[in-house]
Amino acid sequence: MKKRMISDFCNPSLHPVIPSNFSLFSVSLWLVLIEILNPTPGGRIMADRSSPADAKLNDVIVAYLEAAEAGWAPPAEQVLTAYPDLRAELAEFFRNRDSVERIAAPLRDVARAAAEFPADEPLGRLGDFQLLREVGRGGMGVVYEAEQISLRRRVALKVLPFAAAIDARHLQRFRTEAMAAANLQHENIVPVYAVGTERGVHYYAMRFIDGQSLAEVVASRRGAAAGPDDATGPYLANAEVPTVPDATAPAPASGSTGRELPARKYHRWVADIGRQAALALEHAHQSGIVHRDIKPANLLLDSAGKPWVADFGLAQVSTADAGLTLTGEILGTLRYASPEQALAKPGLIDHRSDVYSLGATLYELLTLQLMFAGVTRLALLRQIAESEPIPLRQLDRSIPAELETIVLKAVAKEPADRYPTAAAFADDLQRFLDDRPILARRPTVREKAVKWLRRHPTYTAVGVLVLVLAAVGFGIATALISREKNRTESAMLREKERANEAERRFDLARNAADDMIRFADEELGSGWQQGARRRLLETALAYYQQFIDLRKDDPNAAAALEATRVRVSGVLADLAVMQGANRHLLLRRPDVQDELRLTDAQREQVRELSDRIPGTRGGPRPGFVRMTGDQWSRKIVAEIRAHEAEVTAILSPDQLKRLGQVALQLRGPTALQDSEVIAALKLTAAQREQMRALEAEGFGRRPGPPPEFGGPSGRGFGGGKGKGGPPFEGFNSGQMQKWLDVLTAEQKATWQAMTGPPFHGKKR
Amino acid sequence: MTVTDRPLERYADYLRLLTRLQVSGPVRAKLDASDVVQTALLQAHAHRDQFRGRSEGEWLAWLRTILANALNAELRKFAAEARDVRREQSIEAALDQSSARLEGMLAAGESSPSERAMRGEELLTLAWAMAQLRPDEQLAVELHHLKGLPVGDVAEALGKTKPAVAGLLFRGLKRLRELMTGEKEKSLDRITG
Repeated sequence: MKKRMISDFCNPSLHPVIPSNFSLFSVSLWLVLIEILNPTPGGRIMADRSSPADAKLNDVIVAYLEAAEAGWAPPAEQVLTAYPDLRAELAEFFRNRDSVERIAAPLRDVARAAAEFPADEPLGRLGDFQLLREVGRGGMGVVYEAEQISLRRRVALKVLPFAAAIDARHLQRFRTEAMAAANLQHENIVPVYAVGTERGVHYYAMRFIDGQSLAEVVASRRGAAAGPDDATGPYLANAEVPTVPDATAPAPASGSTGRELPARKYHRWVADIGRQAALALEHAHQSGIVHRDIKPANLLLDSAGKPWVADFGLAQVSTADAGLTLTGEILGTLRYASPEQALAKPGLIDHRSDVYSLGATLYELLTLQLMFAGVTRLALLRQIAESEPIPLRQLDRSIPAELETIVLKAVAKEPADRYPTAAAFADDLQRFLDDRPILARRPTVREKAVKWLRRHPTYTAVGVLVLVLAAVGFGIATALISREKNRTESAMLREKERANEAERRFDLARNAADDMIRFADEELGSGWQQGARRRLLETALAYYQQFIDLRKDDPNAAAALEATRVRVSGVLADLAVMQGANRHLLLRRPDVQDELRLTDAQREQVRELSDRIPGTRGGPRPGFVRMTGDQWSRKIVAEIRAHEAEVTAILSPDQLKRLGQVALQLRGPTALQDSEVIAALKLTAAQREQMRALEAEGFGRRPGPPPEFGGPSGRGFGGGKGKGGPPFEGFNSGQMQKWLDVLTAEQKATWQAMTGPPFHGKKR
Repeated sequence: MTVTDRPLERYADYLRLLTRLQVSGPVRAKLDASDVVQTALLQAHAHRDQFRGRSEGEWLAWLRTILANALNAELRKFAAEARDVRREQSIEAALDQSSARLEGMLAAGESSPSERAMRGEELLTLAWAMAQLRPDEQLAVELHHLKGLPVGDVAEALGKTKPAVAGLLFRGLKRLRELMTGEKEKSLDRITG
């Protein structure tokens, strides 16, 4: 970090905006901050002639001032309340500070404004440029309409603030970027004419676009938003260009019928503006130039309604100097910054940051609301990093769902979840404009679940996730079923609208079930969560049965549904086989062999069988490495089936039965969640719910994976020894007892019969 | 009595403060603000018949113009003296910036007349009061409140800890307010004689 020259540093933050809803939480946060800011006892010693009380007072003052500099000072009264012993001194400090600031602040602001541009001749000359009028002003400098005297052409001259431009290295970078931007030739990119320095003033001359920025469009439409039908905002008159369609600006509403609502026209217009801006960005990206500061104010509309992307190469300046980062202008820029920009991860900022910022811009154009409305820098940063934007249609139902999907994809937190290129963004907007299906799709329940899982890598509570997914599916299905019932009861009253609604709900429910299946296959397909996978699939299957019942009048739909049901049933059957395999693997354990009283001949046969079909250990066997999860499962299932047949041949029927009982016992509580066991015991839904709760509780306590399949290395076909073996000994009997307590007396008796006398295996 | 009849000494503190605010870094150490102000006041006195305004605000603006010229002349002298390349750059940068700042100060007079007058009065009082502070308190208040430096930077500039700066600010502000309120009339009387 460069050492700032004192003279260059003008900090406008001494009068931070204090949010009116400043909460107690923030105060306590602030108090904690005091501790953080002054961690070294050494800092407390230095004050001249300081008593302990003075030292504390100084620490509080430092913390307050630094909080103020960071833009979130607490109100004075709250500070006073927090430090009753320093109340008098602090009150005096605030009073004195206010009275001096009242005079000093305007002086400081003047000095600051002066630093932005020398206002000696109110509008004079700057090198080759005659300034005509000021057209804009902000932390980024002042923009003038000017005439380039030598070429007699009108330009927009942007004069950069000194503070930002003072660092030579930094200035060099700005120049390099601006030069590169000057080489961009695109019909929607404002051409840069010159970059230079005159009398220590750095300027940037570009083509003067006579029109307005999209920020002004938003402002005027917001002001004119008397109702959703009012789309006759002043800019539309320009933008629609109804008479002379410009070849370079394709008319957006190719399929318009003229009877559409103006709101609809507006949305299409926004999509078309976005498309053109995205193409302009793509052009720059192809040249290796990332804009980094796309926002409504940087997208200009000329008088013909054609959009122009302005200020290429300027972002370097806006983000560089810490002294500027707190001005409102920068906050305004921050509003559209991508999460990777906001979190200052320079290495991660690429062209997809522009995709994000353009998405955020379109969001605002469509909803006429800020995507993130944080009033302090900190709040804004937090929103950008953590909050999902409110879906557009929740703010305005008239916004087309496809457009919402497109915009939300563009503003995804993860760059990888956005459009990979600005061109792809433009293409999807074009598809929307052509009324073709868009490529973007909403994140599914499954994707959300996967993301959640990734964000919580240490979480073992897959069971909890299953519950969440099941709850989502259940809720939708319930709504769906009651809706369908209503339909049949009073079909006369239902209009097409309602039918569509039911259709949508049906699709939603089916998508949820499909998501569950996909999640089970792709995320839980291998590894230790087989129990969870199985339960997820069973839940999905139950929904499918309902769907099929609902659609029995529609043969085509029913056939498609049936195909899925069959597939899921097949997977479940395989899973059952895999789970059953545990039983036979137990046979390798000497204590189990003792329990079954195997003869020496039988033991020999078992050993021979184990040699022939070795268990997998520590992952797939070499031959399996290239297999997909699905192939791998099939192979395993085939082996288990072969294995099972041989085991059945070796053991007597009594031994086989006892083996089953021991296996059930050793599986611990999870055995009670098997569909066969559930069916045998006739468990009620309430009982299963109780067991799920117990399971979630158990996951919270135990660090490892759930017991079935013997942990990560078991892979369903593990050997009988070591940590890959059945780990159920980890379950203490007290825990198992909790589960059994859920059962009725009758069920307990059945369970007793299924498990037989207690098996006391050798502890290993 | 018109504004031009007032003793020019009355404005010395104000102009000195402005001067200090304009220059910094390598220049600040070498340049004697009092010298520059003295030069400016002499010039103002010599050319007072060229003043066309009437209000105090206009008078202040006029004085600032003269100060800006004097300061720029002085700074150029430095730049010329320090032909040593390493220094030249930083001094020229400071010069550019200082002139920009000063010119901004000139523009400051363009609010309403009453506002101007009030601000002028207050600025004069503040400048006078600032001059009465202990040097380290004065510098702390000046850097933090007038130049807008964060506490951390003020501490760095003064070679003190942040809590020590807080102590200076606390005492400096206290003294300032005492000076500006309680003793205001008295002090102004004293200055204006």
